[in-house]
This record gives sequence, C-alpha cells and structure tokens, in this order.
Amino acid sequence: MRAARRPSVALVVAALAAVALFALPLLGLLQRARWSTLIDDLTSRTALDALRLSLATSLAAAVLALGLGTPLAWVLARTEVPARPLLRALVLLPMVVPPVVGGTALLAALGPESPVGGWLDDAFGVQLPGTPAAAVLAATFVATPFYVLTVEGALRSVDPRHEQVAASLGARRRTVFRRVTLPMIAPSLVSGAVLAWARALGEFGATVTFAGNVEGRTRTLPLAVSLRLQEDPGAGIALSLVLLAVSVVVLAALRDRWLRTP
Amino acid sequence: MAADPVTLQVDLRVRRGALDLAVALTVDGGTVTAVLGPNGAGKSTLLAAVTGHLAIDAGRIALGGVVLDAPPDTFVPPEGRGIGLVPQDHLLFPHLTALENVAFAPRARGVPAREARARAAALLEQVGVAALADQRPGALSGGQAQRVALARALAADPAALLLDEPLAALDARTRVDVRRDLRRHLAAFPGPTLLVTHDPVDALTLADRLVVLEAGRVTQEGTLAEVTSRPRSRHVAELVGTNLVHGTASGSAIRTDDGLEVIVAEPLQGPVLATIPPAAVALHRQPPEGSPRNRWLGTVADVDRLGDRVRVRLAPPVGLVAEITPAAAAELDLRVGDEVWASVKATEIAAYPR
Repeated sequence: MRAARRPSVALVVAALAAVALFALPLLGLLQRARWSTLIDDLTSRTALDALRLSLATSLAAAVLALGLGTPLAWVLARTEVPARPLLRALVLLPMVVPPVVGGTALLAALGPESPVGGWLDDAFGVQLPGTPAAAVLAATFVATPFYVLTVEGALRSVDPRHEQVAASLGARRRTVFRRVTLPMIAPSLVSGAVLAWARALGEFGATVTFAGNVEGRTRTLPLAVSLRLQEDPGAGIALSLVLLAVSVVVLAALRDRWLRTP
Repeated sequence: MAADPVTLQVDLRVRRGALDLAVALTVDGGTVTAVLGPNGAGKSTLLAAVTGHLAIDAGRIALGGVVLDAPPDTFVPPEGRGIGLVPQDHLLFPHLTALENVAFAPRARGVPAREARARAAALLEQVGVAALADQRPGALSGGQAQRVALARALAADPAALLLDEPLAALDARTRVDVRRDLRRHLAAFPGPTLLVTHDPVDALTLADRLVVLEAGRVTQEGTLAEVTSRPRSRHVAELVGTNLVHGTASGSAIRTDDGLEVIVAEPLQGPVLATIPPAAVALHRQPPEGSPRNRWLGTVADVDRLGDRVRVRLAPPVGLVAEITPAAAAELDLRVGDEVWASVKATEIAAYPR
C-alpha cells in the first residue's frame, strides 16, 4: 500500500474552518445551556405540549411519506411514465423550495380563500389552517421527497431478475413485491422513513406559514424554540437541546448508511 | 404429469432493437434440448419469451397443449406458465435461507409453511446440500448456490425447465461436479428441458438435441450425433463440430462403446464422455511414429470442403472427423474407401464423467 498523500497546510486550515463551522454552534448550545433548570424547562406544560405535538405530527408525516412515497418511488423506478423527468423534478421541488414558500403555496391551495379550502369548509366545516392536520400536511410536504429519493434508489439497485425468477416460481405480483422486493429494500425503507421523520420533526417555515402558531395545536418544538428564545433564552436553548439529541440519535441509527466511507 | 410427458412447442418471432429473432423448436417431455449460440444470437430473448417476461410479436408458444403466448389473443403471465427457471448466477433471494428459497414456490402457491419446508428439505437433500439449509445465499459457494437454485425451480413442480447458462458462473472444477449432478437430475425430470448455453461442452454433455442459433436464426438442429458429425456451416463446425465419444474409463484408458481404446491425459473411472477436436486429429498414409499415444487405422467415409478446411470422416468403428488443411488433403489424396491412419495426442482429448 502506498502512503497517503500529505495534505497541504492551506487545505488543512480550510478543512478545520469547515469543522469549526459545524462544531462551534454545537459547543455554544451546550455551553449556554442552563443545566440547573433543564428538567424544569423541559417538563413545563408548554414544553411538554410542544414535544407531544411534534412527536405526533412528525410521526404522522413519516407514516404518510411511507404510504404515499412507496408507490411513487415504485412508479419512478420501475415504470416508463412519459413525463418521468418532470415528475421527479416535481417530487424534488419541496427539497429546494424555501419552506416558507412551500407553506405559502399550501395556504394558497388549501386555505379558506382557495376553491379547495372553501369546498372543505362548505362541505365539512373544516378549516385546515390552525389545526394539527395542517401541521402534519406541512411536515409531509417537506419530508416526503427524502423518503421517495431513498426508496427509488433502493428499488433501482434491486436486480429485477430476482422478481422475474419469483414470478416464474408461480408468485403473483403482490406476492413478489411482499416476499422479494420489499424485504430486499427494507433497510432503505427504514432509513428513508427515519430521514423523512427527522426532516418533519425540524420543520418550521412551512408549518408556521400554513398551519400557524397555535399553542397545543400547531406549535411544534421548532416553533416553540423560536418563540421561547425571545422571552426566555434559557428555556429556548433547553428545547433546542431536545431537538439536537433527537438528531444525534437519528444519525447514530443510520450510521451504517451515512458514516461509512464509500 | 410423469405419466403423460408434455411437449414444449415454440414458434416465435420477436424484434428487439437490432435483433430479429425467428425460432421454431419442439422439446419433448423427458428430453433436453440445448440452444447453442454466440452472445447476441438471441438466446436470452428466446428464454424471456418462453418464461413470459417478454411478449412475442408473432407466433405461438405452447406447453402440453396449453397455449402460453399467441398474439394478439393469448398471453399467460410468467406466474401462470409452470416453467421453472434456473438462471446463470443462481439469483437466490439474498434475504432468505437456502431452505426458505426452495420453499418459496410452494409457499407462493399457498402450501402451509410446515409442508412447504418439509418439501424444501427433501429437495435440498436430493440435490446434495441438505446441510446448508439454514445458510443465506451469501454464505454458499457457486456450486452450492446453483444446486439450491435447481432445487428451488423443481419445488414449483414445473411442467418444463429452462436452464440459462447454468454452469457459466462456476469455476472449472466445480463445473464438472455440478454438470454431472445436473445431468442426473435432468434425466429424472419428466418434462421438457430447454438449456441455453454458449458452451458446447455443456450442450454435448447435458442435451439430447442441439439447436444452433446464430443472429436470431436456427442455423442447424438435430441430435447430438447429427450436428457434431455433420455441421452444416463453418461456424457450427467451430462451435460444435467436435468428435464426441461415449465410453467407460478405467484410469487413463477409455474403452469406447464402439470398441476403440482411447488414452487420455487425466485418469477417470466409470462412464465418460470425451470430446476430440477435429483439428487435433492428424491423418497419415503410413503408421505414425513419435509422441501420439492414440492411433487407429480407419476407412475414409466422406471428404468435405468447409470454408478453408477439409473435413474427413472416417467410417465406424473409428468414426472420427478430422479437419485438415487443403494442402494436407491434396498431399494425402484421400478418396472414399481409402485406408488411413488417424492419430491424436492424449492431451488434446477432454473427458468428462457421464
């Protein structure tokens, strides 16, 4: 084996600067944390409400991403739909559009002023904005692309001949999917869902724009953090630590997928 | 099914890109037909059409009187065809154990789990890998995986078997073993078997009939003896125009069924098949001297010009085909009925257990 090339000083400095960019905020958060009142800050009623709401909406969003995203990933990976590049661009849009724009778009499409929103109101007396359902919808909007991308990639990596053999063994399409395709892409389904869930958990812009900031109904953890920081920075930082801890756990859970050198 | 062997009838036309495939062939129950041809000849397309993963453009595919594909009216999907497939690189399901792989077909048909597993265990036993039942495919060697793949195909109780280059992914040593076992299992299989290969040795050792496919067309077909002794084109001659000898080995000597003694380099025991490339057969007017350990006196039955070579067939019991240059043929001046000495080096002869 050849010795690794020694990097130049300039390169090391630049790399260290990047490391600092990631590490310093983390250290700052830990350093500013008010550890003595941490338990109280986290168990206050508003904090617990936000935490409960965040867990519920993000889990619901992850489940929706799974339910809606799996068929879509299948269509993108396995069928010859005419406008596939366009379709994929559409799926990726929520990843690149600023969430606040996404929220505005949702509001324009489903808010009380819109035809669909008006119809929902007239027919069922439902007004989405301000409800937990709206928070779920906003989170699903931003999170699903992560799931679709992950699963589409996994489906493409499955050798279709495995499915052909399964069919020649007498398995119908549903059986082939359930007993061959699904188990073979299962690790990606899990990591895609975890990724979507993490994204949903952190969602701020689309939620605050579309669902609003109603305590106990749409005020998820990120919204609570933002609000608390203005009144009581210590409590805001405590809530931030919760989100940070969750992210670390997610990263640890997906380490085989992302932390491994390719 | 065993009582009434079914026949596979294929008469199809498929156009895909540059390939224009037009093949008609019939495989009787209990027999093996090898489709032999170079890469790109249309073998995979033929296979996909028969398994139902590709719809044919015109023609008819039928198995035991049941029409599987006859555009535009009939198309039976792969899962309804009852055609077992043994693919080249085994394609076992990586998330299932060997036993679960074999139990897949019965399970898919709704056989209760316990019964399916018992049947799978029996099949693994039959192909000689019962001890590996709980292993995942990743832990199996190529030869073991290919045996499991055969058991998996048989577990579906297929009416016909399709083998797609079943030995191509194996190393030379494993190939001999798996080939011998495969031969035994195919002999016991009551339905028609279609074997697709680019390896003449596989075709010669496993099949009863040969179909030579070139550029989407059948260029020759017939029994092994017909095709090997009378290749109709230079290409077929190169591909399969080899001498095939049936005999019984005892050490390095093989006694052929025609009563000839053939000396080979690698000792073997029991029933064997040996191939002798026609180009390795030298002809002499005088008894040859020197190194060749095999020499027989025969009678010229046929002299045939094929491209830039001359094929000389000797009458039984020698029954070999020699391929010599036109210059050598002119010098020997062979006529039908002439006596001639044939010699072959032991190292030129490839012998395989039957």
